[in-house]
Order: sequence, then C-alpha cells, then structure tokens
Amino acid sequence: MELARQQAWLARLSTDAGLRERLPAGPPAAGEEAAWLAGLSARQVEAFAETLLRKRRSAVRGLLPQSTRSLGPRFGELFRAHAARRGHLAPFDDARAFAEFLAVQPGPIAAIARREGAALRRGRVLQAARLLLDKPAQLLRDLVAHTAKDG
Amino acid sequence: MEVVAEAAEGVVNSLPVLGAGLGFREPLRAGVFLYRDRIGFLEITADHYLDAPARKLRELDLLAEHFTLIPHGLDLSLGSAGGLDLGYLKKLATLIRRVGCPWWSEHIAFMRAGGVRVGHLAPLPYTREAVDTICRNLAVVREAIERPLILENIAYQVVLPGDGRSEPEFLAEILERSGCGLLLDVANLHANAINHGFDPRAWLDRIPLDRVVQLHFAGGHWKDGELIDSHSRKVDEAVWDLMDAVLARAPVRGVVLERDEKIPPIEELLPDLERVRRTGARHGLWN
Repeated sequence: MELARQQAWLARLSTDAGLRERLPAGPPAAGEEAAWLAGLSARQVEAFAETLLRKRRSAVRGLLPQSTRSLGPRFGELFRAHAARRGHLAPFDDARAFAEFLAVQPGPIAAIARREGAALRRGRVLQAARLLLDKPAQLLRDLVAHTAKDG
Repeated sequence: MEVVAEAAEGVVNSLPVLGAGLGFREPLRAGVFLYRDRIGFLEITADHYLDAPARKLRELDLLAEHFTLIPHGLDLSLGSAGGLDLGYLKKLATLIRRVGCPWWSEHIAFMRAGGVRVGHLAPLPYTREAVDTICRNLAVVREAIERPLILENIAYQVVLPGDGRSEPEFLAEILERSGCGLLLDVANLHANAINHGFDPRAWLDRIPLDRVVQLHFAGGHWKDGELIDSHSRKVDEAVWDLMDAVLARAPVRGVVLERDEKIPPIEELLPDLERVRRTGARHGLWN
C-alpha cells in the first residue's frame, strides 16, 4: 500500500475514537489495506491517540483557565466526550468548540464557559485586527488560502 | 551519494560551537535575560513566530540581539506523501532570514495526511518510499531556505509495518541522501528503547554519529507502563548517560534542554545546563 494511504489511515485512526474501537474486531478495510492494518498494534495506536488527546487537553486548559478550574476533576471526562465528537482541531478552535460543548452542560459551568468562549472570540478578532495593521499582505494571503481550501 | 555525504560532513564541521542551550518558552522570558551569561544559546519554536503580531516579533528581535537563536520547526510535515504546505514554508523561510541562525531543525515525521491534521509528530514507516518522500520534500525546502537544516529523530508509540529497514538504517539513508545533519534527541531515543525494548547504545552504534550537530534532552513521565516524552519532569539519569556516550563520540555543536509542561523557575533548569557544559568540556567539545 502506498505511503499516502498509510498516512491517511494512521491520521484517521489516531483522531477517530469510533474507528479505533472497530480495529480489534478486524480491519475496517479490504485487500492490501486490510493486510497493512492487520500489521498495526491496536494497543500502540490507542496509546498514540491518548498522547494526542493529552496534548489537545493541555492546550485547551491554557486557553480556558476558568472553565478548567470550575470543572476540577470532571475536566478530563468532559474533554474526552468533546474530543470523541470532534476530530483534531487547532488549539484555539478546539477551545472554542469545547466552550460551546460546555455551554450546553447542566450546572454553573454553562455560564462560565459561555463567558470564556465569548472572550476567546473577542481575542481572536483583536488578533486579526492587529495582524491587519502589522502585516496586511500576509493576512490577505492567509484569507485567500483559507477560502481556496474551504472551496 | 558519497559526494553529498562528504559535502555534508564539511558543512557540519563548519558550524559554530554553541554549547549548552535552552528551549525558549514564554514563562522563561525574564529569566533568560537575567542569567544571560549561563545560557549558551536559545532554541525557539519557529511556529510561535510565523503569524506573530509585531509585539512578539519585537521580542524575537530582542532575543536575537542577546542570543544565538536556533529555530525549531514543528509543522512542516517533511514526511507527508502529499507534499509540503508551501505557504507555511514561505513563512518559515522569512523567519529564518530574520533570525539569521547558523542552522535550523525539523522532525522526521508527518503531521497531516488525507485532509486530517494529526496535531502531533506521527511516525513514518521505515521504507524506501518514505525515504524518497522525505528527500523529495527536502529538495523543495532547500529551494526556499539555504541555511543548513538538521533533522530530528522522534519519540514514537506506533511502529508502522516497514520493508525490513531498521530505524538506524532509515535515518542513515535519509542523512546520506539529503546531506542534512542530525538533531539527536537522546530523551526520544531513551523513551523508544524503553517502550519498544531495544538497546539504545547498539542503536547509537548504527547511526552516523559524525553527522550529529545538536542534541535535545528532557524528562518524561510514566503512564500505563509506558514512558511518555512529555518534557514535563526532571531528566532521568539514563538520559544523561546516553548524552555522555554521544558527546564522547560525536562532533556535537550544541545541546538543548526542552521543558514544555510544569515549567519550573529558570533557577531549577540552570544546573542542567551547567552539567551539559561540564560534560561537553570533559569531552573537548567546548570550554
């Protein structure tokens, strides 16, 4: 199997908990892809996915300090539930999505997360404004690249 | 191929000796200036400055006035079969020109594939195709960035099915074909040796030690019987032993202590730099 397919499989497996759950029961593919997947250790893939999750969690903790403090030991469990619904996101987008997830949870955390999520969004607007002043050409290039990717 | 290897050896030998350095992190900002004379150089995370506002770039310029800076990239994804993100590469080239560094570094890994961002350094299979891919991507990098690039071995948790090559053979082939130097992370080597059950000293015997330009070292933590390279703890004595073994045999120009989590006051990191300085001096690498 060519390298591009191998990399696509590892990227999907390490960021998609549902796909990983199906791995021990037999490779979710056929032919040479199935043979390649059978050569992977489900335990190793799970450990790698845990490392990715830990890295995401650590970045989001830094971006949502008040929500993190309010959740206490529940943070890990709720972040895992959020991560299972969303694939890998850049730290800022991840924090914003997690704040949205928390905003619909029961209890006082909803209001705290809504407030912190809004502050994050305001910070992003401010950052874009600064970039517009500092490096207008770069911002334009990034916007064009973003639009092309989305299209 | 021999010509490339000989030219690379010449480049490695011409690089300046920097000694014991520190991975720069924002919480250490005041400390690095306070203890300027005890820090040989700083390694900066290139990605933190690629889309940075003017304030952060001014901080970078201030650091560059007082220290030799070595940019360390995270997201170039040199091993991606789908090729490189040329917009990212252009920003990286601009940063490297701005900093004026003697060399810069990236990882032998991939970060994205099939439209998915992994968000962490993912391992490559030890295959001919992966070597070809890295070398093809490196040729593109060279068109954009002239400064010498050194490549880092990663800590890996997953071993992908390969074609019979070992990791040392894989690394040696990439270094020989590309002409790049090696950034040997001895903490990664230690973690891999523990987690995958091999002898790290035998591993060292099989890589081209004459191409080692820089070392990384750090402390990790244990989770479910596995050593995680988290850069979060005190450095294990076994990592110090490996570093000593490499410094005794390789023409190392600089060593960087990495700390990314639970960052302590800088005073707690300085003794490690002093120990690196003494070890390198004992092996005649610097004073």
